[in-house]
Amino acid sequence: MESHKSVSQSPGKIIARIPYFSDLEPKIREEVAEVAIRRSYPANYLIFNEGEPCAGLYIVEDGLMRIFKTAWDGREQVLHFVGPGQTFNDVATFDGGPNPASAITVEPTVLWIIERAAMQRLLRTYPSIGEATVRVFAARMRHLIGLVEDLSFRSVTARVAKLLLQQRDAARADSVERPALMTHQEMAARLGTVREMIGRALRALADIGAIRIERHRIVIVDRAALEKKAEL
Amino acid sequence: MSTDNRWPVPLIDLRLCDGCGLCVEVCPVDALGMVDGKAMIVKPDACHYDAACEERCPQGAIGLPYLIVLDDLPSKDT
Repeated sequence: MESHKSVSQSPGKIIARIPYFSDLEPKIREEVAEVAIRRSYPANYLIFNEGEPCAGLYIVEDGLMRIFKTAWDGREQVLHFVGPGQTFNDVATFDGGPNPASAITVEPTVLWIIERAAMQRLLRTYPSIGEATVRVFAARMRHLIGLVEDLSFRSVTARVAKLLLQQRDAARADSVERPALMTHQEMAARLGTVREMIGRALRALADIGAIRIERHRIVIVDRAALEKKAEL
Repeated sequence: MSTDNRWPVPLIDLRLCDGCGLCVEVCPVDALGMVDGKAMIVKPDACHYDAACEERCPQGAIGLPYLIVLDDLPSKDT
């Protein structure tokens, strides 16, 4: 797995990367940084569970988070990954309800936490945060609509084909949708299915010549065929 | 446990592993063994990634990571 190491930056510069605060004056960003609590966590550390009371808005300074829901039978559905400069638990921070999903570190991660009351105070004081909030939530909504579309209308094979293309492209673009190194179980958690179905879907894609499965690699050999199967 | 992209081996989540030993029994090349009551990859070079351990593990503690690559990529991914 690739790591997300970044050079340590000043609090103001880190705050400037957060969409909510990017339009603020540098002096005000420092004020935001002062109310944030900075903590470091090891890999695979559960930050919070869904249903628990909301502690506040979490900002990733460095590392990678997985945000997920858990079904009654233990199956996991990944909602999204969160990397440096991005936030999570936004919904509970703004509506005051319990955490809507769980959050776990994928690798050693440094987080900043802005308590809900402090975030609300900032929101009332600086209108640009409110405008940015609408943009952030619109982007999240667009992502979740895409997830609903995939889970509702695409076959498992189509979802696997789409995920392979996305993972490969994301790894090359160095975005937070890493890693390109995935287990069948991780793919299943991303795609709303079970591990056995992933194996079947991969074999189906190999049968049509879209991919080749090697010892520890899934090689995309016919991108056009994979895109067609992904219904893109 | 290893996440070495060049020669990955099955990942074992030691928090989930209950030491039942079924993966050790099913491994056709004896790449797995029990160490301090937990499953471990004791012969990584022998592992040929047939996924028998992953399929057999009742705890879902074993996963085989696959690197997703394009056929036209340079050899840095291999």
